Amino acid sequence: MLVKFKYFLVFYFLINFLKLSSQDDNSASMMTNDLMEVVILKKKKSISQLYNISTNIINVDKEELLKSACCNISESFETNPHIETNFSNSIIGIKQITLFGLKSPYILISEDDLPSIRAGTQVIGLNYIPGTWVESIQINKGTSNVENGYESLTGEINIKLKKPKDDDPFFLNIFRGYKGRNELNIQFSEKLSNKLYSSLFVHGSNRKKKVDKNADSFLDKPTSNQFNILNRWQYESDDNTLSAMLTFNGFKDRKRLGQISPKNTGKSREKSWSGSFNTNQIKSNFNLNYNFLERPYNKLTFQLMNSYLDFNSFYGFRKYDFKLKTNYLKIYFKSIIENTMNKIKVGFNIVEDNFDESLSKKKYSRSEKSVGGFFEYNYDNLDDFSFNGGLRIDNHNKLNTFLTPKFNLKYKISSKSILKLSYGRGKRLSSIFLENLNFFVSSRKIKILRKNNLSYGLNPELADNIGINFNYNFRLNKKNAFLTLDFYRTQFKNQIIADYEIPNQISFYNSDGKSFSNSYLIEFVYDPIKNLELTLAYKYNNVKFNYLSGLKRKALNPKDRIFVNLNYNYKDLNIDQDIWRFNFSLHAIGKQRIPKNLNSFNGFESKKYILLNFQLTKIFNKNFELYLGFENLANYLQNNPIIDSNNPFGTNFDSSLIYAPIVGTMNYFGLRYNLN
Amino acid sequence: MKKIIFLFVLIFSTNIYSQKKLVNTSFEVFGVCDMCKSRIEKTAFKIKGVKDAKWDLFTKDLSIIFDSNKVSLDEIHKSIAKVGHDTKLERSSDKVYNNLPGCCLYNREEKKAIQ
Repeated sequence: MLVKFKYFLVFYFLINFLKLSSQDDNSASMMTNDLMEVVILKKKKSISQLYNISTNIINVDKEELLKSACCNISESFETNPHIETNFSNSIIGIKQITLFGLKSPYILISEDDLPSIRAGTQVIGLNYIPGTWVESIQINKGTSNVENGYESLTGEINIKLKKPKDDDPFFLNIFRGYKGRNELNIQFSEKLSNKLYSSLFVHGSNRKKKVDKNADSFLDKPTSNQFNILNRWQYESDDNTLSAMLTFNGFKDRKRLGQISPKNTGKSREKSWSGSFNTNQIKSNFNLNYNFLERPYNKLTFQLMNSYLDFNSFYGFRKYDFKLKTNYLKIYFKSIIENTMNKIKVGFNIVEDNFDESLSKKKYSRSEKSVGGFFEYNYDNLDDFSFNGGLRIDNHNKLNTFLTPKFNLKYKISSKSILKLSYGRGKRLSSIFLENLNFFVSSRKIKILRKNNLSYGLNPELADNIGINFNYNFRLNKKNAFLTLDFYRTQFKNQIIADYEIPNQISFYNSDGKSFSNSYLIEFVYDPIKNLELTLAYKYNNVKFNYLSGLKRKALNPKDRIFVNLNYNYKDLNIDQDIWRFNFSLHAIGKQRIPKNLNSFNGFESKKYILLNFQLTKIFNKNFELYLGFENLANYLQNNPIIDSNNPFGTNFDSSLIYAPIVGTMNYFGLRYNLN
Repeated sequence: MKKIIFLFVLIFSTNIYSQKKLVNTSFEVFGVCDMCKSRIEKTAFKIKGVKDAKWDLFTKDLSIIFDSNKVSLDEIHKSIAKVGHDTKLERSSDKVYNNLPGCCLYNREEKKAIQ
């Protein structure tokens, strides 16, 4: 059924495509008067620090996304040291990212500058944006700006999807790997008139093969069947004053997990442990911009998003449903005071979230509404100093009225070195079960230490974040070298802890005061020879949580991480084009604290280990390339990732303490074809 | 919330309906490097009535938006020449030009060519 629908769509669009391409197109030259022109420190690099703004933003463009195996955004952070990727959720097949050692719901995730993956759905949402849909990603470490609300505690990730106007007319990507993982991306973009452009992207992927390499009777990764679709309409007026973008987006995913072959375990089908989760989403996003012709520094923006997410799942005897309906409106006006050295932004957001959540028949439904206004001031002395300060005030039906300040400052110490400082505050209500999906594949009993009458009985999380970022670029052996030093501290004033410290139990409670994360990064980027780029990084995440049993290192969080990336592009000088691309990356993951459990009564420290990835791309011409790669080349595995896997209905069954890969070396290959 | 919307409307309307007579233009300014860029733009912003100024290192064009009720284009040319950067209309004094940092010394056209 699904397959037929896919073919129908492609066919339908092909017909339209042929019809429309016969129309005449006389392209009008567009004048750009973008005041926020961005200067990039590392020119022509696919990953770069944005250097003329006061916030610490790392820009990742679509070329960088090609370096990781595939396929969705959560996997795309493996080729840089800024965002950490974790392995704790591989049994349920959802990759997790962390920032400063803290979970993804503390990151504000926006699509085209509008918060769109929110309210705890960060843990699943990143898995549903295919990498080939993405133009670029901005990673904002620490405090960002006030326009996108108060929910960011550690940073912001903005995902810019491809725009119909600038996109290639046709793109095809076929991928095969991971012992039965298949993926297909078909993308069309079309110029309909001088003002109107449109795109249709479809993505289908599945994993049908049941794999259980470690023979614990459980699937190492779930089987899955996923389909995504995106349809965009872009409008730009002739004089470039009015622009609009309308986006419709949806996906459907079916995953099956659990025991693979009840026959082998001598149990009937009813007695085998199984689980499934189905995720569906539809979303529309409308963005309208008005640039004033005579005053190009004035801009009025209207953004509206409506979405409906339906996540329903069961794990053994436990059933968990999470439905979220969101309406998000943001209107703001950008202007200047006196001249463009002093920029201001003023606007408001209205957000409505309706949660329909239930866990084994117990309801946790709730409705949250907030209205907030913000004011932001940006000063740039055009030389060595710039400042960005913002304040917002929000009125929330559960959180009452509160202020959120955010400040960023940049000082150019010399022509080679830049210092950035930031301070900001974040506050949020959590979706505790969704944010801790790990514990569902276990027999852990849920305990909530209630404090109030909110849906879970827990107070909102509140944290301050301060950051120092130092960039130094210099010449080493006549080649460019870049050094980055980062320090970020996240200090919780109130935190919700998911506590795995007692075997057979997971408890959720508020912890005030002491929890913190201190994150240090040293990164060195160097081009020792032409077209070879070397990145070396060391990250030290000192994360301590104030558990009921005392202030302790956060469980399952490596303190030390080493990252090495080597990228080499072999160029054919005659045609001035890459013909081979090699990418090699190494992640060394430090020791992690594992809470006490059935196998280890006092808990233990996991061993450090190394992950190696390699990718090779052959570029035939500017339209066609083939690639091939390996993940986890060192073949590091966690033995017995599931505690008491023989007895999944017993009280000791637990897969929530996974700290390393459970699938060995994986190979993949694929092709990319585009028309331009 | 009412206050926020009021503030929004206030800032919005004062910016839209102000009685400014804005001119959006660009002209060539001689210069070489990022230091020149900083000096040219800073000078332009110091002039009352100048809303926006951006100098392009490669085309040597200064794009400028200003309120013609407050300042004239000639005055802007003069102010920029005063800090050492020639334009097609105004020539900087030799003394100021010679005092520019070494990297900023653009190739000067002959006096006659300008006048």
